[in-house]
Amino acid sequence: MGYAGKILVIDLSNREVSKEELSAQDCFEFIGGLGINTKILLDKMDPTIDPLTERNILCFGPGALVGTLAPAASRTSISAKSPLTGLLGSTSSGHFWGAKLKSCGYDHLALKGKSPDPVYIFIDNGKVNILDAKHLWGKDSWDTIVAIKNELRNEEVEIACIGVGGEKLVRFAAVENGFGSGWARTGPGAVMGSKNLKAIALRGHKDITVFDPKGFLDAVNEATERVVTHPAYKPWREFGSMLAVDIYYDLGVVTGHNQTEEVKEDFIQTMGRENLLKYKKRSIACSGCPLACGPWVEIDEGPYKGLKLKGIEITPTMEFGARCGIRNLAAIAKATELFHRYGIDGTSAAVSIAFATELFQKGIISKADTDGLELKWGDEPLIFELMRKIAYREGFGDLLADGAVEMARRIGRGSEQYLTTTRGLETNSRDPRSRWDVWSFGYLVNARGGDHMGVQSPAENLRKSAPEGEYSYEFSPPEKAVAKVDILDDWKEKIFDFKNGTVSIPYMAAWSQDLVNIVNSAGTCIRPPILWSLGPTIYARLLTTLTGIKFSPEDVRKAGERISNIQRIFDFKAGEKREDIKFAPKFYNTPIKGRQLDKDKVNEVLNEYYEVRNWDPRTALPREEKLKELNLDRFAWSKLSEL
Amino acid sequence: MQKVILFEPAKCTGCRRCALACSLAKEGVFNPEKARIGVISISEVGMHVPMFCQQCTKPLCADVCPVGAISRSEETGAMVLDPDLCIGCKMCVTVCPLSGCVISPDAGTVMKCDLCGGDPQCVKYCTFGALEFVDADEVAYVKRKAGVEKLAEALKRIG
Repeated sequence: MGYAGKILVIDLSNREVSKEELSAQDCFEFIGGLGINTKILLDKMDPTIDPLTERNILCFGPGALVGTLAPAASRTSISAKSPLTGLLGSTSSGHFWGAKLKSCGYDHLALKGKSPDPVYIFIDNGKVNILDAKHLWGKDSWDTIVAIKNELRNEEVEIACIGVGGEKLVRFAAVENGFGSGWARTGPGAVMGSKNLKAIALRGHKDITVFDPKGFLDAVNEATERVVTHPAYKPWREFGSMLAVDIYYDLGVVTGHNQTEEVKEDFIQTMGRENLLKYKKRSIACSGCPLACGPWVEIDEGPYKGLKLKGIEITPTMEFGARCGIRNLAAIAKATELFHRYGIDGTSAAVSIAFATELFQKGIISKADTDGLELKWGDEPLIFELMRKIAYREGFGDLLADGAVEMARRIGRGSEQYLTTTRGLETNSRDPRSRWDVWSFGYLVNARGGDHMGVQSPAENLRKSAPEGEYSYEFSPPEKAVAKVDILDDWKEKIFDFKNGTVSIPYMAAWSQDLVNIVNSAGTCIRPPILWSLGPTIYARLLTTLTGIKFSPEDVRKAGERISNIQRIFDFKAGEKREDIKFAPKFYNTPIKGRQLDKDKVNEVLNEYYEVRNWDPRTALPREEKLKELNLDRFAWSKLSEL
Repeated sequence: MQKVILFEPAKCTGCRRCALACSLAKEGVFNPEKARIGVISISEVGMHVPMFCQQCTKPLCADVCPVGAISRSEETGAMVLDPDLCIGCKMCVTVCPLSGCVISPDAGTVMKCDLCGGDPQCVKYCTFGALEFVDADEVAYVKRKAGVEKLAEALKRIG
């Protein structure tokens, strides 16, 4: 119960539709969502293939709790081999598409092959229709959604679709999720575009059954209570993710102009959280969420007057604001509209643009390379024009559309040293040189590459930084705060040293990475009021009472660890070796405020993390003993003999 | 005094917790299509409106039902539909201006809000105050007070 027990597989090459069983054993070991997605990919595809060919598999997976009253249970993961990084690509989005897939009677959707002509899929209460999309090809994502709703004569269909970015195979193209949300990082939109698939529309009225309704509701009520009484809840409700802009600025960790300098007071005055309140009219929530962190904004002055949409969020503010130099929060709303309509990842687009701007400013590229455009920091019309050129792969945009790593490779002339990409993925403007902590270390080991979304500590000390040169620990929040966080006792002992008030970075990073995998597989959210208040104990109750499969807190924790292990196995098979696991060159060779990363110390703490995981530090691969412990040795893909 | 569910669209975030709570309470499953309450989203302006039976004083649904399946509860004042009597003729669905009566997707008969016998679950699970269960004679006060707060904000700016 709880699960539909079915994976829908569609081969777009021959329109073959099949329904595969999702076993209780797989649910127990990988929970759902991201975990099962990853297992499907590792079972069914060759990780060495070119991601933009028909042999890539695009997998959609709502978490196990999605579509229920579990708090914030809306999150759906998309997984595929990434055309940007060449690693396991994964990204998550909320709202209602994932819940609707469950209403169609499926836990997962796996798309194989390539359609000879542009099509879209319409799943009608479980029945699969593959419809002509030639008339939709070329439309931006929001116009596509309107067109499909009109032709299906149904305004309530949930639609995931690509914009022109996906059609043009921009390597960081997004799959849009209705209006104002999307699956963007690692470029799933390009995979979808390479399959000639424009959209997936869903309509359904199937039940999500509950094994123990009273028990589930008790667990739901307790989980919800924890979330809404958490000290972070009220501020997050008011400001959404913009809350953290000021926190990071105060911590001194925001760098700008492609991470070449500290930002100054003008940044926080124009782009800080208080500016959101000028535009925010009300709050928007995802399926089942008691937080409603999404701001509905309306711009009523200036060049973007009349713009109305969901979203002014921290990451576009940091990347278009700090990184690209924009000093006008209303412009972030405009950038948001554009990256959604074009269907491209905002962060990657901002980094391509900022990287090009830095190279231009340094004289490494010139107007001869940039279609005659003068690349300046904070030039809003220029930045928006470059976003358009990227989406359409027009002129100079064609180079930017391949991402910063490929840009450096093609430009040469020593440009590589200015990259801010870690393992192929753009690292966030919360700069790892400015402060070393679990967050900074997390960039290095995140399965999808160097961004911040895979390793998030449920107990961050956002006031004190560890001593200069200290790489193995950070300072702990007060013992009282830590007592409330659900971390299993045997891990708590290894993570926290209360006598010295410290947190072990290798142990907390491993715990956090496993926790985020649990969250992305259960389908809840990593927003702090939820991430910091829910842990394996409550997830075990929610999953057991919903599904009837008996999960203990340790089973849940182990599932998270198991997922971390298969993620690494996929990345290894895709070609990522131990020596590839390092930060962007800029963080080692260019200081900020006199600080840069120490290569040897980074390697040391990385080796400590591998020991925590019982992975061989020479190869960064799970040892035999660990594979046996996680019941992973029975799979062919664990035979890691290519050493 | 009869209690009513007061709804405040300006506070609705579109989370649909109300619909999930309803379908679980009434049907034992999570299925918004089986809820007696439905949220309509107006995406151009980012607004959401929960729509459900208003327990009319002169209910058209009861008038038009050929088998007398809909009747007033003494206790709560709600118009309660008996699924055993319902023949699925859908005349009530046709006449209700608010879609208070909804066709059940599997059964083919009709479902409507009965205020959960006096403890409406949708209200319980709305975290944003978009749904409140109040005495009918309190509604004017609640709405006037909210209006006064908005007026005070506007007056502050000119006064």
